[in-house]
Amino acid sequence: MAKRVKAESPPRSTAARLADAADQRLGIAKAKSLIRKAFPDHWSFLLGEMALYSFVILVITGIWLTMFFRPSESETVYHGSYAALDGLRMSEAYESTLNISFDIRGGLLIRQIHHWAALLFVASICIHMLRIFFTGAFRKPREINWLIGVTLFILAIAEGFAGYSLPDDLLSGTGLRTFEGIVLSIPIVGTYLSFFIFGGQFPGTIFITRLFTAHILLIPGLLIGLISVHLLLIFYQKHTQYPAPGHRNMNVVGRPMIPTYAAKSAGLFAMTFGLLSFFAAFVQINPIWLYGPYDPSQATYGSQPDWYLGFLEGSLRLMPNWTTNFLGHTIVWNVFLPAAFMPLVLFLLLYLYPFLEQWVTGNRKEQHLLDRPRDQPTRTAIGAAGITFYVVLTFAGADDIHTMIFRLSIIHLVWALRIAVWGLPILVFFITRRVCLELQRSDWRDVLFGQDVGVVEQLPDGSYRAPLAQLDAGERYKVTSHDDGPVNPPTPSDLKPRHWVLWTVRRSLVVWDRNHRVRKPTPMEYNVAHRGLWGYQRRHGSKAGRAAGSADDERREELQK
Amino acid sequence: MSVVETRPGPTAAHGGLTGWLSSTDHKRIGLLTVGTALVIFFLMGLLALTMRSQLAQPDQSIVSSSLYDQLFTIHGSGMIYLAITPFALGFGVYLVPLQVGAPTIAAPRLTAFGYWLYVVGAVVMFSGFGAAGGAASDGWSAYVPLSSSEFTPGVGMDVWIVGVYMSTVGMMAQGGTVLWTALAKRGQGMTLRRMPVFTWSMVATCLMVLTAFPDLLLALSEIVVGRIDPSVFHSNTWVIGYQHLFWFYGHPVVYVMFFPFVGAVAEVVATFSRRRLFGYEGVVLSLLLFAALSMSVWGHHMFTTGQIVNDYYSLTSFLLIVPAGLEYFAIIGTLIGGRLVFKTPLLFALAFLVQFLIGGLTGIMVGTPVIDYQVHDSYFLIAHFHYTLFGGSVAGLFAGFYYWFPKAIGVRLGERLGFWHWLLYVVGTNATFLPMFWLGYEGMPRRVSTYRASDGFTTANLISSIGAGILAIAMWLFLMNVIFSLRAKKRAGSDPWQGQTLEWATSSPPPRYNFAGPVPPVTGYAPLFDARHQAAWDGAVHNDGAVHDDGAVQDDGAVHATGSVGSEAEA
Repeated sequence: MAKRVKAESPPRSTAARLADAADQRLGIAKAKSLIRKAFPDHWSFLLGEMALYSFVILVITGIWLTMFFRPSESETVYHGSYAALDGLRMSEAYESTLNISFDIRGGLLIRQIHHWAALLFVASICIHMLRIFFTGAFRKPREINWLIGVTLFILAIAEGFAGYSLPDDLLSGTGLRTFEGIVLSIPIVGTYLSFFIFGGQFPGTIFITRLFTAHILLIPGLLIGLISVHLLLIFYQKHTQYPAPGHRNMNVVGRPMIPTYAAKSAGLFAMTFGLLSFFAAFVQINPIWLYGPYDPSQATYGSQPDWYLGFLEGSLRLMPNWTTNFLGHTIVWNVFLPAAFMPLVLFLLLYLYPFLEQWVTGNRKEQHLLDRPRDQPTRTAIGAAGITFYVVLTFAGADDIHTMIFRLSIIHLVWALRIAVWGLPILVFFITRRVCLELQRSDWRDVLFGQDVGVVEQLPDGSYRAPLAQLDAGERYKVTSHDDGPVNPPTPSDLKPRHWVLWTVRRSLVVWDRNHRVRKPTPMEYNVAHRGLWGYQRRHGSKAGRAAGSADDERREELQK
Repeated sequence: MSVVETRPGPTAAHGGLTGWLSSTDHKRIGLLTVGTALVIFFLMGLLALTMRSQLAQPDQSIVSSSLYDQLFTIHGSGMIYLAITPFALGFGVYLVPLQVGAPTIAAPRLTAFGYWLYVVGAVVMFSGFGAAGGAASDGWSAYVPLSSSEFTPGVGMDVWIVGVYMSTVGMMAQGGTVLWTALAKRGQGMTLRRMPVFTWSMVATCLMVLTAFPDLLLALSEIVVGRIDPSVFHSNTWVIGYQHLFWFYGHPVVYVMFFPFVGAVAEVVATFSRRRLFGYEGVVLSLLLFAALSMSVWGHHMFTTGQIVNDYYSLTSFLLIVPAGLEYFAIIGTLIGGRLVFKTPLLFALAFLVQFLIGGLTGIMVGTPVIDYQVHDSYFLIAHFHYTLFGGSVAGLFAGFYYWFPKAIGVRLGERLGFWHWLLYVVGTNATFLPMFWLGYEGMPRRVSTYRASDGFTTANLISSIGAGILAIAMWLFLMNVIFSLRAKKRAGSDPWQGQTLEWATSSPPPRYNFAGPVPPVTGYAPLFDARHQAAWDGAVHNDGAVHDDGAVQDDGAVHATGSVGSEAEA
């Protein structure tokens, strides 16, 4: 702890003197605790970092791209080295993207890294968010960071959409046209809003410039700001950890930032960059020269957005053709409901989830230990149902492709998906919850009686025995350390009588949730089981256990005869 | 006593979705396989009913001819690839470890993998009905050039190939593990010459699975390549070569769908005759001989191609009479002199003997080139192989199902419903398939969706369709019987039939590792029968000094929920 260095100390090495000099001016010695900051170790904690590093790569490659991209809709005639488009009229934006791809050294590679990184960015945010959701890392005190995270997710989608719309090719133009349609569908303000955004009729002449500003300045600025707060909060609140011996709600057990975690993280950055470069070099993405310049009078078969917007595309495609005439105005439900209202509700639910769960369970304690998904069957089932909903919609976004490949009837496919988009999530909800409960029950048995590891012994008398392996302390802790059900089930006095509707809803949810939980073994049960109190497992064990027990009874009775 | 030491505890695997779907317990995998096969068996039966409705009267158009093509294709391939073959192997997966006194099957995860491949393959094949052109429509044998992309275009055929490929690989996995278990995982005292006859039938079956099934994969690969570009093959390789490859699989698979049920019938006959199987060693040898010969007869499916040495394949086909006759004599020899207990399993076993005989004898007819030229591709052939498969194998299947159901589930199937199921099944089978011999002889070709009134096929077709209706009622009764019995509370006990083999020495259903107590000593191929007689002998000597051979052998057919023989011997 070299906090202070005396002036009269003898001269030392250059490094030491540099360090002293820096310490005297910046106080870096205080950062020693920072250097030793503990980072819990688990692969799933790297998902968010992957998002971060994709973002870093996006910024690096993005800066490079701005040097050559011209965000302008002025018309020009192409005379670059891609002969197929020679002499074609196109916007400067499209022309400059062609130039980046064909005439600027390394341009195509950088462009493709940028696009692949954008896909990975949103994908890693999604997976990171799912990890947070399923492990309950959004619980108190991390609700604010969850809100920031959801905002980052939305911004990332917007940033991606803005980015792939910039080149002004036919595909992205079709996407912008869809966007315009969604804006127009908003009742009353839609048309005004559209004129406001595009500066007149679609496509207008200034939209690429506006989009460019949003893409390189506005949204990245917001992203950088929010990412900083996001990280700062993680730093300040400290990282969550999975239950394990010695991991408690009050501590953080992990590797020090320097050297272990920093090295790991740097390695992840290098790997992310390497992977993206590999993809960029070998897997073509967004070949705009094949699509041609945008012309509002044209659209192509098989137009799909980047993957993260597939769900919107899908919900648009599944929606029946509903419109209403109201006082001479047409309300286009078939666009508004699936493409404006649905995402609004979806993101609202994402924002509100931590608070809804808190409201139902009444659990207002600080939680720093993560849940195992099986220990929260209802939450896990909700998450799985949500994923199913999203995946069905994404699948529907490419229904023309599926129809073509599998030669299906598109009407049949659309109707099947319309049913699936509501039916499958419900089915998945119940299956998931059931699987969670069964996994909990199997944990329960493993703790009390040991685990069947599949080793069978033959005894000298010729009978078979499969000795059960007792869980070690670590496993036992992992399986039993979670909270057992709602902490404070609401009582009538919790809420004023005037809230009786809310109270009833909450109470029924609590009861419903509690009825679908498996009690974890109590210490008494554990002791009883391990002292081999005869017959215990027959009262509480599985059906098969009881059957085996009664078979034994039969045997015993026979022997007594 | 040692009871407390050997208590099984909760080693029994967990129930529920995860417990079943992630199971590596051979009993569960076996039940899943058999259950899935049964569901597909019913579905394929519905397709057959549709076809019989279409053919009940001349000039009907209940289904279009294109849909009719899909129906007979999926009915045939579903029954062969996805119903009876998996049923046969599922039986083996469930029973062979129990019969040889092993605690588990060899390579349980591979066995489970086989099941999952089979299920996914089935789903993939049936998904063809959702494709624009419909499901595959070129017959279960998918002859080229009919199955080429020119004559059977569409995704339905593509997914058919994928489905058959997957389920066949799955069945090979299961066949391999069953064979491995029988050959290398037997319990104490279980020498090869003491293996139950059902296990021997599975050994012969699995040998054919492992030698013949890879050949189907080759044949399918040929279709795949040919569908992409038929010019790859010399035309004779493409057309006749495919038939060679296909029937080198296609004939043994008939025995794969037959042997396990012969084995089941032999076990049932022995048990319900209250005596050991007569001629055990002859049966075992004939099974092996049968399996070996099955690889030499494939050309008899190709007599009419003119590219086969007909005399050779006719001769090898005739040789099959020797092992088949041996098995028949052994089973009949067991019945004669036995004290028969007419429970449902035995009824089905008797139906098997008669109906399979018709199938077998007409097999000799179609194995004679000069007759085959006349009846080839006619309803005669349909009648022949439905007598072997539906009249024979399925009767054996039901015999085995009624026989082992209480072992697997712990409850017996109802005898009364079982009797009606049996009666209607026998009536329906013969009403459906006997007229077809006549139809075929009169020249009605197979795989046609309708006929004219002037053809003179009307009466026989109508009888046949009425027979199919009777069969539908029989199957419905069977389904009801299974559902009622699954809900029944009355336990069957470990040995409701006085079985002779080791699976009856453990509880019903058996514990996770099959035997909770000591496995009874294996003294012969009917160890429990031997022990029962030994006990009777000892008791007779002990009680009055005289020898009563029949002292403890109940021949009244009543249910005796006796405990395991091991404990009797121990006591």
